[in-house]
Amino acid sequence: MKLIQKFTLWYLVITFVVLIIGGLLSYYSIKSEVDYEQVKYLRKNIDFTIRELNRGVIPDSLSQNRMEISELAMSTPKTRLSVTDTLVYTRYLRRKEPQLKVSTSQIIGGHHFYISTYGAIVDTRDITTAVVKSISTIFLIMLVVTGLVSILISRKVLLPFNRTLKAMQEFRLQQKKPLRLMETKTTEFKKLNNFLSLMTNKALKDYQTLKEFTENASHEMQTPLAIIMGKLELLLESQIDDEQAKLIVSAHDAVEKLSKVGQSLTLITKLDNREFESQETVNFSQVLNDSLFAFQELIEMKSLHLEKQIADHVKVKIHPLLSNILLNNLIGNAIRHNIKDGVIRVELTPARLEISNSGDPLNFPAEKMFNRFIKNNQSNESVGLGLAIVKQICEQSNIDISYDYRDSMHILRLSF
Amino acid sequence: MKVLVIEDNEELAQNITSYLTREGYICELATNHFQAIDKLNGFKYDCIVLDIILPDGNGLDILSHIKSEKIDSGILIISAKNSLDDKVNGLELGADDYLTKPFHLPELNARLKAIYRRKYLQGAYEIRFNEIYINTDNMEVSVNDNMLDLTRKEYALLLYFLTNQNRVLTRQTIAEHLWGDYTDNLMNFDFVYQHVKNLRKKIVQADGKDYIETVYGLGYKLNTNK
Repeated sequence: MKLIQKFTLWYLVITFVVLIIGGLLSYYSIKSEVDYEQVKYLRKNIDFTIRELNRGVIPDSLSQNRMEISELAMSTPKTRLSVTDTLVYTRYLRRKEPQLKVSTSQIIGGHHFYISTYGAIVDTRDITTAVVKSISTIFLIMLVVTGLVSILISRKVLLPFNRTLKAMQEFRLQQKKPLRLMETKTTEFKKLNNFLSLMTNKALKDYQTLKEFTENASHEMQTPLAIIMGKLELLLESQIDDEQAKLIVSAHDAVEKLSKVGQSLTLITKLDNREFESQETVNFSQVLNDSLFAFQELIEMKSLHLEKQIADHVKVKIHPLLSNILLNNLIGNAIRHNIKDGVIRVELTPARLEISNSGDPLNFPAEKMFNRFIKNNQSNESVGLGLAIVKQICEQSNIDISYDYRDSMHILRLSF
Repeated sequence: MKVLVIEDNEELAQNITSYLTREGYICELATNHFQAIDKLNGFKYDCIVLDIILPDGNGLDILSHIKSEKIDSGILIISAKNSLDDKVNGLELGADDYLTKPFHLPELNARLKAIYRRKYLQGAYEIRFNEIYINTDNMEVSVNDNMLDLTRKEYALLLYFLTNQNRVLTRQTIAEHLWGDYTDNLMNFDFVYQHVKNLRKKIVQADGKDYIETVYGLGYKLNTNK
C-alpha cells in the first residue's frame, strides 16, 4: 500500500469516528434546543390564557383545539407549572405522536382552573435522519476532497521522494553516472537525498578506483609475463639437461596460467564496466554450430557422444564477441567436466539454449557454481573463471541462466 | 625476411629479435616512435612487429604513417591491451594480425610467416619439406605423393611444426595455437598428446620419416636432422 494511501485511510478512519461523536452531540443539542423553544411557546400560550381569564374572559371561549381549561374543586391542591411528554392521537397521521404537554393550575377570580396545552415536538427520528444525512454528506465531501488532495499531495509533495526512489532503482555503479536527485524543500527529503548522494558518490569513487586498479594491474602484468615467457622459451632452446628442462617447463606452465588468470580477470572487469555495450542481433544457431565444429575434434578425442538439436536462425541480442566467448566457455566446460564415453547434449530453440553433460556431482554447493575461482578438484588445470564469465555475459545480455543436476547430468539452461 | 620490431620494452624486444634471428630473419629494432619512423623512412621491411603502446606516441599513429607513406610491409600488432577497440582499429588501419601479450615466441613466428605468405605469395603457397608437401591453398598434405587425411587441428599442428623447425614446442604453446584464447585452459595436455600422436602415425603410415620427436618433459620438436 502506498504511503499516501495509508495516510488517507487513517485520516478517514479518524474523521469517521469524530463525525459519529459530532453527530451524537448535534443530535442532543438540536433536540434540547427544539424542546426549549417549544416549551417557551407553550408557556406563552398558557400565560396569555391566564391573562385573559384574569380579564374575565369566559374559559369556554378560550378553550380551543390545543388548550384545555377545566375547573377544579377549590380543595384540590394547586399544581405548579409542569412539562411532561404525552402521546396524543393525531387524526391526520392516524397514530399517536409524542407531544409536549405544559400544564398548571391557577386560582383566578375565586375559581380553580386547570390549564394545559400541548404541541408537537419534533420527532427524534426526524432529527436522527437529518443529522445522519448531513453527517454522511460531510463524510462524503471529506472522502472526495481527501481523495483529490491525497492525489495532489502525492503528485506534488511526495514527488521528490518518488523521484529519489526511482533514481535509486535505476542507479547502476557500472554506468558511472552520479545519482541525480530532485531539489526539494522538505527537510526529511533533503536529508535523505543528501545521504543518498554522499553514499552513491562514495560507492562510485570506490568502484572507479578498484576498476582502474584491476585494469592497470592486469595490463602492467602482461609485458613482464611476455618477457618471462619469451626468456623461458629461449632457454628451452639452449643446451640443458632433463632436470633443467622440467624446471623450465613448470615455470612456463605457471606463467601461462598466470596470464590466463590475468586475461580472464581483465575480461570480467571489462564486462563489469560494460565495455561491450553494443548489442547486435546475432544468429545464435550459426555461432553455436561454428563453436561445436571447432570443438568437434576434442569431443571425438574424449570419445564423447554429442547429441544436438539446433533450431535454425535463432536470433539473440548479444555482442558478437561475447556470444563466442559464452558458447566456447559453455561447450568447453561440458567437455572438460565430462566422464569417459560421456554425453553432451545441446538443444537450441528460439526461447532457450540447454547444454547438458554427463559428469560426477559437484563437490560444492550449486549456488556457488558461478562464483569466481570455484572448481571441482579433478580438473586443477582450469582457472575457475569460465562460468563466472558466462554468468557475467548472461547478465549483461539479459539472458537468464540456471543450473540443474539431474540423472547424473549437469544441465545449464539459458533463457533468452 | 627482413623484420622491424617496434617495441619499447628492451627485454621483450630482445626476446623477439633473438628468436627471429635464429629463425634466419634479419631483425632491426626500434624502441620508440621517433626511431621507428626514422627506420621506416630509410629502409624497406617485409614485416613489422608493432607494439601499440610506446612511450612517445601511439603505435596506431605509426600504423597511419605506414599507410600514408604507402609502405608495403606486413604488420603484426602486439599489445598488452586485449581490447577489442584496439584490435578493430588496428586491423582497420591496415594491420594484418593482432597478438595479445603475453604471447609465445613460436606463435609470433607462425603469425609472421602467415602474414608473409599471404602478402608476398598471394596465399597460394606450397610448403615443401623433404617428402612432405603442403598446399596451403586447399589445405592438402601429401607425403611421398600419398595424400594424408588430416583433421583440421592436425593440419594446423603440422604447419605449426614446419614453421618452427628444430624448435621445442611445449604442450601449452601448441594447445594455445590450436585452440586460441578465451577457452579457460580447456586443453588438457592429453589432447595435444593425442593430436601429435595421430599426426605422427599418419605421416609414418604414408612412408614419411618420423620427424616429430618427443622432448621428454618439455614437449615436441620437429627435428630436420633425421
